[in-house]
Amino acid sequence: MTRSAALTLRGVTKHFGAAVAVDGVSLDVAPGSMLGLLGPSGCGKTTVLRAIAGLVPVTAGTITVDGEDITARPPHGRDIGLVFQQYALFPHLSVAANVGFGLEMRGVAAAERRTRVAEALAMVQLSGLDGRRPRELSGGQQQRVALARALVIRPRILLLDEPLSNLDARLRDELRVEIRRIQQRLRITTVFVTHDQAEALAMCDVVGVMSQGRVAQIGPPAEIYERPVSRMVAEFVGRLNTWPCEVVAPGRIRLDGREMPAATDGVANGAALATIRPHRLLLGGAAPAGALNHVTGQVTHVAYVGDLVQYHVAAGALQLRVEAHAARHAETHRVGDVVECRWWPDDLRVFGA
Amino acid sequence: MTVTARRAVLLLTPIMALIAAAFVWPALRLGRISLVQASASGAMTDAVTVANYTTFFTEPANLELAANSLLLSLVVTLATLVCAYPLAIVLHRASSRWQPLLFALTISPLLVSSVVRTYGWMALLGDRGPVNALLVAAGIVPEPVRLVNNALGVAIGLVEILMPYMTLSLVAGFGRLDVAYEEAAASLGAGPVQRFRRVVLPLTLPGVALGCGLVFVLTMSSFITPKLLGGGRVFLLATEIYDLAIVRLQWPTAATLAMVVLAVLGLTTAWFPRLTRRFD
Ligand SMILES: Nc1ncnc2c1ncn2[C@@H]1O[C@H](COP(=O)(O)OP(=O)(O)OP(=O)(O)O)[C@@H](O)[C@H]1O
Ligand SMILES: [Mg+2]
Repeated sequence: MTRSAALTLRGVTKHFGAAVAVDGVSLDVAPGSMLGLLGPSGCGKTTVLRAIAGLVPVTAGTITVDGEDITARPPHGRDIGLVFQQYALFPHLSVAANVGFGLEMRGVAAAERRTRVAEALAMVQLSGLDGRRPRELSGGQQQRVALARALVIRPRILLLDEPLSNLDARLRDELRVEIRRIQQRLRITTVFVTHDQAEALAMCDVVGVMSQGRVAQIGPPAEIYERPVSRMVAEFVGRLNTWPCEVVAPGRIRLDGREMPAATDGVANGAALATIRPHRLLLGGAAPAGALNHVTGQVTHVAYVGDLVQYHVAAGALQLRVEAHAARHAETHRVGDVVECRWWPDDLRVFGA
Repeated sequence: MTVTARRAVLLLTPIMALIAAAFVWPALRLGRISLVQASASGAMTDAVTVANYTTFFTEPANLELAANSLLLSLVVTLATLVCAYPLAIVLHRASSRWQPLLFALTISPLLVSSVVRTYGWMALLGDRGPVNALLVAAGIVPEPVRLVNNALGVAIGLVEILMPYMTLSLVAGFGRLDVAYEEAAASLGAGPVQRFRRVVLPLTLPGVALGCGLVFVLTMSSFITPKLLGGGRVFLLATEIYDLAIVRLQWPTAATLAMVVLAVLGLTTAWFPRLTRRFD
């Protein structure tokens, strides 16, 4: 069984020449938990992972594992497994030799190596492919070999850099579940980098949203999704309606000429942005009594996307995007219908403009 | 014939014609001459014989020539590999901004004829040349050492002359080498030595085979540099062929030696690529 380790970053900073790739990142990953690092392209996710793995020297800051400072240690002395975005399987070695590489480096005897490689391949459901070369495998199989190769050494920390981004949707869903299952079974402290917010929210115990080299917010998935600290985070982790408004008093805003309650959370009086997620807008009869705010508008567009129906509703100067579950008996609306749209005031979150 | 096959034939025709006219035909002629019986006066007769070959293989001096040539070629090939390999790694890893300049520098020696460079080496390596002066001044040797007019001088000259060929071949064969593999190996616990042995070296073997094959062949067939830097004291198959054909006018014997060299080179070129296929 893997011993679970705690990973801590304090003020980790990386400059490439004049460019700042990572700017004072501090994080804690509890033993055995999985942190999802989320953020737009170029925000520094890969650089953070590479710094933890020791592949890029940091400009400033410290990285500790179980309280032990490893900032200056070379990568081969860190005992940290890394799954590269592009797999990086050794092309000249068989699947078994790839998976066994780390064990060989640790001086594990051939017999034990064989059993552990077989175990690792069974764990990622690739038994029987031992003799193949990486180029004879599909993308998903290569991905799993890379995972087995990192897991078999039972590293203290596992780092995954967008490991699912090159796969089709179905395989991605499958592997997502598989990775999470393995991670939880081995209780291995993991950092999972992705730019797919659904992936991060669904898989991870804690999610960190990065922006321009900094951590904008870090917390449990529900907190990130429901109580984003900035418009950037809110937009990044899910679809969003954004309307200009004016804060008139704490907890009260003027939106399209009407005053109403909203979650202003300390935003100063004056121009601001009101945001609400499309599925928190309730149309017509779907809204229970007590959902206070409401506007009336006309449906201008309907898109049926299987499990969801997306509506565009024009209400005065406001353009509303609404999502409703396509349940069997749900009320449906057509283009041109006049509908009442309601929401709970605290779902309308206000950020400074 | 499929369209692609027809196109391939069409594309290959010019070079095939050139090779047939400039290489295959002369080689066949050479083979024919090697089977000619020379009269006592040295004049060629019409009689066909394998006597030239039996003489070659039974004459100890000839076998020594062959051994000299093979040994020199192996040593030069290895030395060139050792000198060029780090350079090739640097070239392979250089950013796209510096690469063109570095490539230009690598091949710039080819702008000067190898004859001129050989004379340069004769001056540098002579008893009173700067290399010896430096060695003596530094106290490494008490008196000047023999660096020319022997096999060492020939080897030094050939290594330098053949470096660009080796370097370019290595880089051409480094296509599969990617730092990501080295990083992966490091994250799996491999130190610098293990990374080189288990990852870098196997991935660069195609380049090594290409470069070694080329340099071996070029060394085997070089005769100007061995003649000049060897000072007439280094005897190789290639220099002997030159003497026999140009100075002593014993064409059948020269042709026989040439055929032997051709066979060795043929075997080398066939064998070197197999070295890498093992790792594919
Ligand atoms: N070796 C390098 N030299 C110079 N700049 C670099 C280097 N590596 C990364 N950067 C820069 O640092 C910033 C962060 O890069 P990083 O690869 O960490 O982003 P990322 O969040 O992983 O993006 P993506 O989602 O596209 O993979 C980028 O602006 C990038 O251009
Ligand atoms: Mg990245």
